[in-house]
Amino acid sequence: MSALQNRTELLFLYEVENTNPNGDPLNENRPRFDSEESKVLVSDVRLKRTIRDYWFEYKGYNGENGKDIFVRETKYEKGGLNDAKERAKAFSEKKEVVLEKCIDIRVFGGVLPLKNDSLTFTGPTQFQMGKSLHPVEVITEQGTGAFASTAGKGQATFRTEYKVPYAVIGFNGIINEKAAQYTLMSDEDKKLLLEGVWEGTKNLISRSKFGQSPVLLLSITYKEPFYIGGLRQRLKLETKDKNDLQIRSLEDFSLALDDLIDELKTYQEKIDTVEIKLDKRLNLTYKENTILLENGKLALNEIG
Amino acid sequence: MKSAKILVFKISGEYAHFRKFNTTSSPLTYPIPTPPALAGLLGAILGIEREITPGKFNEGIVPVNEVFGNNKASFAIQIVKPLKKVNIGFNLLDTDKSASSFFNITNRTQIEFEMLKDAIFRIFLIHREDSTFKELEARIVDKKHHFTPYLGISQCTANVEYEATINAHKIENQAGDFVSIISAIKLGQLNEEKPINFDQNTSYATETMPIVMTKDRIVEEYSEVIMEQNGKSINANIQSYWSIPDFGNISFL
Repeated sequence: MSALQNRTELLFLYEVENTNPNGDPLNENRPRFDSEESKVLVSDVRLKRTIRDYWFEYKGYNGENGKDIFVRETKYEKGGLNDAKERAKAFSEKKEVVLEKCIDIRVFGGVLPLKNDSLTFTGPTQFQMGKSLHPVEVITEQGTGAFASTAGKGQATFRTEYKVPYAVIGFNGIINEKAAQYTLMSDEDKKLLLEGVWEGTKNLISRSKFGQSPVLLLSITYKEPFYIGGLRQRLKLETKDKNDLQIRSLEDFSLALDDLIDELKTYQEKIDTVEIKLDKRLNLTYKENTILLENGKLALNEIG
Repeated sequence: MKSAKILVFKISGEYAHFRKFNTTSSPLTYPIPTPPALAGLLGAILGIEREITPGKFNEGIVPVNEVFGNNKASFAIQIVKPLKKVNIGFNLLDTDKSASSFFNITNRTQIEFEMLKDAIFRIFLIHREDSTFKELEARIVDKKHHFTPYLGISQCTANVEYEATINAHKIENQAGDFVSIISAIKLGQLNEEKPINFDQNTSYATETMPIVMTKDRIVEEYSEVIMEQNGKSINANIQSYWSIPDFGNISFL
């Protein structure tokens, strides 16, 4: 498989409802929060984990048929001892083998000391920290655990949870085709990345993440080494009757795409294609008019 | 009077982290990018490959630290937006036990990173090799970056925005007057007696930071650098400075 040739820029939005999008380990697992702007943050690592989980669970990257995920969680280890031995063997192999097998190293890069070799790859795909498009509040909930703190006690323990009632979170991403030449990330890998972003977010059915839903995925493929940068920062969330803290669904606001579309039009010559995937419930506007976009290729000239 | 062509551009990003050399496990950030960090960022734009392992480079690669070596390039850094620092906790893999910890994660280490938030810097660059200067200028104007540039760590991808290319002159301050300087200044460039005309309403900070680094990542020069944290200018009794039309007076680190 040959490495991909075009630079790609990504914008991904997803909504969360009554969940903890990304707990802060140093702050009692409260949602990561920017207290200056009252916005929730989600680390790039969380999004990459979502994508890895999807590849592992649904796309056969589970160590069989030469398809694998390198940076694995313990919970992936289904085969027990045998599996771990296999992976230890893979680990001491050459980087070519690791690159061929492990999609996550091809897409996100990695730094690993191998037995006779070392592996230092800057990932072609970089995501910035994700951030909510609007101020949110964090709520505290008390719940009862299923177990007692010590054996024999009659009462189960209490636990405290922190959640955000609702948030729309946006990520900026860039795929660099030059770095892809080193890790051999292919167009097929890119397809799987886009699928993983969307479907993985949908399929993340754990207790704290249930209620996440992908809303918009824009992928811009450029003809030349160029990217616009800061796509999320060009969106403007406009609420209707409620204030920002009261937003509870996609119906409560519209997204003004003015800056984004204008910028895309400005650099149209450098752009090969713009593809969009979106949730039909999302209200989009351009120059104060509602616009209806279809999934698939975006015809920039037809907007506005 | 010495003169040179100066490339002026802005770098910005939502977050940035320029790791201090002495804080590896509780990472703090310099308030401004250091010259070696800028060399790396510009190296990414030019497409210069990084080392495979420390000190080891692919054949035919001139390391960024040499392309932007002290004898070839000079950087001046202006803080454009008041500095803000935030702490963000990251989950790092705990890899010190065994190699298998990479692919079978059981332990993680929580580390709090000090990050700069909404950072914007204006960079003034002299490069004495005309071909490198021209290529860099063209790439920044067209945003034709080879690799993705970032502010210190990879998730902090950078926006790089061309501003101007200006012919400027170096001015010797023989009279010992106070001059308004918009960039960070090496303390060593100030006159010893009454170096700064301090203003009560400004917020000064000094940092010891690496200025010159070799390709083996050995720092050859550390300097104490003074800067104004809100992006105001410093009234300094400086030995020499460069006057940049439309921008102001700067001092190269």
